[in-house]
Amino acid sequence: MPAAPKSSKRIESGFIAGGIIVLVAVSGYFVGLRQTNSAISMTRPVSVVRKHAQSAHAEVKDVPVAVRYIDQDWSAHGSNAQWRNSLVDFQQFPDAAPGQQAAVPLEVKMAALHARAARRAYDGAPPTVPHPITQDSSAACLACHGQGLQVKDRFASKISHPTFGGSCTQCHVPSGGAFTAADAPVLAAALTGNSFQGTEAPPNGPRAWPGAPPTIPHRTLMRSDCMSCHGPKGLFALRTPHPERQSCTQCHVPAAANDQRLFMPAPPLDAAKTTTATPAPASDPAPAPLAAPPPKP
Amino acid sequence: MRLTSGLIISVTRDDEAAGLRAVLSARDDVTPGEPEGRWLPAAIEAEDDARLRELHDWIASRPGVAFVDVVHVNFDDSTTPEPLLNPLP
Amino acid sequence: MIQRREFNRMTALAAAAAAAKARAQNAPAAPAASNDGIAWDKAPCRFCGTGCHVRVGVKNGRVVAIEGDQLAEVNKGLLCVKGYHVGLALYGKDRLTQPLLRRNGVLEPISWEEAVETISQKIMAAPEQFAIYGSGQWTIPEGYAANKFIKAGLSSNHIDPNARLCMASAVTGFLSVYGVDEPAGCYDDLDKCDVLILWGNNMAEMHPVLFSRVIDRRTRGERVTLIDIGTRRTRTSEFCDHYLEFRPHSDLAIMNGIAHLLIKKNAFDPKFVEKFCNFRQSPKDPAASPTAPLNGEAMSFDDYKAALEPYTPEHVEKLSGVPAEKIRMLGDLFADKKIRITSTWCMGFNQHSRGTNANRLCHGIHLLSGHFGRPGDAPTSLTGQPSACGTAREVGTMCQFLPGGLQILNEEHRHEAEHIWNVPQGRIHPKIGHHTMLMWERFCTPAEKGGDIRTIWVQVTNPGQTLPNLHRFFKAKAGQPDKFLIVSDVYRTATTELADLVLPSAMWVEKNGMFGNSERRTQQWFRMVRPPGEARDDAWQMIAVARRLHDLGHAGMKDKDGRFLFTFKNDKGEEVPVWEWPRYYDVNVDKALFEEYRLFSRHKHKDLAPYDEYVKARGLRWPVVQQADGSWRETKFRFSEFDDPYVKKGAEIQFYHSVTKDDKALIWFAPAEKAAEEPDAEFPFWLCTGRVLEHWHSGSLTRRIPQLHASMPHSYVEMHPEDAREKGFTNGETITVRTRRGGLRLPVWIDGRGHPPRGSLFIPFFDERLLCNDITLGDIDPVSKQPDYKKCAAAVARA
Repeated sequence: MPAAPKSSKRIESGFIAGGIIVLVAVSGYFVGLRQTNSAISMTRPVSVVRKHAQSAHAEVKDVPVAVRYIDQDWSAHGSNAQWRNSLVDFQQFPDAAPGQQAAVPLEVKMAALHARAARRAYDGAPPTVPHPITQDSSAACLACHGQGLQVKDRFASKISHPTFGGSCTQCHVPSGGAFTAADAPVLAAALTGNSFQGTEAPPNGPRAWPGAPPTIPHRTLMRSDCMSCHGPKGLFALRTPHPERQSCTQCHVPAAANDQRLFMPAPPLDAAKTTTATPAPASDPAPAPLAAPPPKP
Repeated sequence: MRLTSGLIISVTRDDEAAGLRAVLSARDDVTPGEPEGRWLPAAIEAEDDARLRELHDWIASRPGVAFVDVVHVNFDDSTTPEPLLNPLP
Repeated sequence: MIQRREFNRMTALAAAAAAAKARAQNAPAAPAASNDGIAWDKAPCRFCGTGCHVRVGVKNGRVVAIEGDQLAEVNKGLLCVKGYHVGLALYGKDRLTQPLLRRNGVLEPISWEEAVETISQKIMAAPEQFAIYGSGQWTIPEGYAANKFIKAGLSSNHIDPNARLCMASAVTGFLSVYGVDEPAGCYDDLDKCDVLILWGNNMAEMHPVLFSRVIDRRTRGERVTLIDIGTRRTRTSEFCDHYLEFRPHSDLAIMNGIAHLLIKKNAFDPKFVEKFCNFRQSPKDPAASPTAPLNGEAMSFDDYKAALEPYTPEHVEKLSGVPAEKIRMLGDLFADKKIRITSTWCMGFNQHSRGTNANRLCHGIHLLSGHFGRPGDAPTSLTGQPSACGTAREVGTMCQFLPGGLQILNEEHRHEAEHIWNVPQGRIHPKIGHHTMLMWERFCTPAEKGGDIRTIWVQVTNPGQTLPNLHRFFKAKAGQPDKFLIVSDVYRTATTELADLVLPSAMWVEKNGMFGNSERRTQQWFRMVRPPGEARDDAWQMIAVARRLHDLGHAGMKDKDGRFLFTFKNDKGEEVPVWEWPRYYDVNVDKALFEEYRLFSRHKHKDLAPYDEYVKARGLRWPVVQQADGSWRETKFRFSEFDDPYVKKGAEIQFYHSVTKDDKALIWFAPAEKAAEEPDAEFPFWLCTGRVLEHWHSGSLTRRIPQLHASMPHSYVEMHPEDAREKGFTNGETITVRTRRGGLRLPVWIDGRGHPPRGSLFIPFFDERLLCNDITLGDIDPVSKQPDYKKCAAAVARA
């Protein structure tokens, strides 16, 4: 850790103090992120819109008492149904102990890949977001996805391309719709189907010999942080059995063809790609441009 | 839990290894060894995986460093807390 | 414990030292390589004017993956959600695959021969009543073929692109300030500016890759101040340091306020102004000459100062609602020569019934303050379509232009075009044609009432959804049997609803193509997959009809040597009958058309490189000038001596196409004016329309992409929560929005993606089932003829 105090003999207490500072700084940062500019500057009043029929002037008689928000069982709703709105559950479990872990059965791995593919148009496409998001500010995404987060049995994966962290919603859109209208079933009907079939994620990278480290079978653009998927907060079946080895690409090499390092133009589909055509009437030289000074050397 | 790794740091030119060694030896959590040409061995330690990675990335981002390769990993999952070096009175 | 830790460390170090020793003695091993059978090729994205390059992965004749191109300077490997899903646009299950002719009200399949014959007969019957409605999504060669076909072949100038609805005011802005179209700066300004002012420009949703190019500078620890000046709080506002909300149509007052402060505080740049600028205002008599509205009349610096006199910060606050101290803040920023200021704008300025003036004033404050001509100091307009600059503006597919920035009204320019096209002098009609709004109005008007357009051929655009006030400008065509609408497209759209003949087109990587983006960058790609069914290239369709007219004896289809206008030879010098579809790809027709078009490009110093240079590059920014060593060099900063080879040595800045012929640009004065229709007691709301991140323009492509559709499945109307509370609307409830043109039922979204202020509504236009253009006004700018989609008066009621 670059911020660790130098030549202090109280290493542990230094670490604890440093840890607290970092923790306060990080949580302060995320609290800040959660507030949008408009919320901070109080330019937009927060208000609840009610129907006229429910206004206070109406005489209340024999009306069943509404369940308070806090008493409602929200766990049965939405894509985050497995989450629990209980603070004690938000504690982070320690990562699994390092060391060789049991191999994941192939069918479990395939199921995990399938679940992963369901959120992507093709392997390499930005995944859609399986939960509702705030429309205002994409920065709130990083509160959970900046470092990865576990809430009960749900995992918020760590951002795999931290250098592009500015505007999440530019590429990641909610799969459940940004907004649901009252007559959504009619309005949301798709125009037509789409017959696009994208590339699938390859299940395994080839090994040079049994026991050799597998090569990276997928493209790595926008996936520079391997730990996003393969780390302790990644998809269960895709996690590395040796997270303590911090330099993944030292042993697992990406193929140049997958990596834009080897740009091979596609083979010509048409003769036209190699056959030149000339416009027939261009017999005379072009007229000189008006008042064109000669180009600089 | 405490993790210790052995690294080979490849520098871009032979004469950079010594300077890098001085920079690294100023830190408690890095123990550099004797350089071999463009390659400088070092041991690093941290209390968890994430910090170890950060340290690794920090070394990799030093000027003149071409690669940082891991050749050895040791983890100590003993749950007994270590005594403070200088116990409080 | 200590010992154990020490032991661990020593073990690790020993292992590392041993390995280092071994490493020092070994040679590196060669990396393994593998290929999963996907062929990759480059193409610019099909959607907006940013001009990102994508890598297209093709396997078994189909597009299977898309990747951001790391070699592309524009996007450096990043895309937006539309770009990542652009490949899916080809595979909607209802692609048009055969020509369809309307018989007894029903579109029935016909052959291509029949389709080409039908169009040719319509044109032969009345060539002067035929018009082409084109697009900023045409490729450069497609637009060039259409332009040559109608202007050189039919001696008619009734061709206009949808860019009239989108960029026309930017064009007249550039022409009247610099005498030549398109921005002097480029996207590099976004990397260098200290302050970025977004004038009514929701960049986070509309040009996301450019936006993150700026935002990511902050991630790297750089300081850049973002100022959003808009009429509605958007995603972009949330990233901005300042959000200045102004009353719709009062942006001219804000810019006058800045100029006022620069003059009052003597904080303008006297050296820059004296050396490089003259002053102009609108002519007292716009009808004095055809060029009077564009070029205006001269005014002295003293007159200019006097005209600005009333625009004190307090007065501007009264007009715009922006606090006087914020106007002062803007004035101070422009007064500071040490910082670099880039302004960007798109539809906020352009779709504005004073759009030309809005563009002029923005250039004006940059020129007046000297914030011009250094990297990061630039007024830059952005485009919404991938080739609005390339095809609509540079190829000149507008009713008043010829290719390369030449003008129909200029006799010399016409002769130059006739020379390049090898047609007799006088072939090009000297009168400008019908602009978009006039074209559609005349098409919707019965012949006996002056409707002098009988047939329109629409390519690559969807006017049935995107024209304003659709009842008047499009839907009135229904029930007029003598009017004939031809539509070339890839899917059924709101336009094909009224079409008499529908032609299935090839799209994007199903054909060769070239685009030109917002920063003067010309891009090229090859066809990678075959189009479905009988779908064919738009350029082929135009050439096939031209050939049929030639065979029917239309004299205009021959040049002065009696040869067909579109004659191409292969490597062996043999003529190839490209009008026969199976022979179309025997030669590269795109290359031939481009090489011919290139001859026009030097006149206005918009020099283009040979086609093969673009094959190698990820686009090049014109002027692309050949160097002494034979290489081709692009130009990033036009008119600046340090980069533009056409600027005289020692000139520093030279506006070499100056309207006043003295190498000076024009600083305009234009007054703040009221909008054509403002809210009143009956229609108390402002209504604004626009786009959303997920959908591109009329949504005919993006609504067929499952991921984009799922995220944004339908349109809506945004309103302020207080207004909704007063009306008693709940979130998601269907309401009716009414204007003087009609009504529209759609759900209301409160505190949604955008946040309009009180008394303001916003509706996106992508949804063809909820056509907001049924109710928009479409009042046009008098100079550019571009309609205003951003403001009219509306009322809301429970549905």
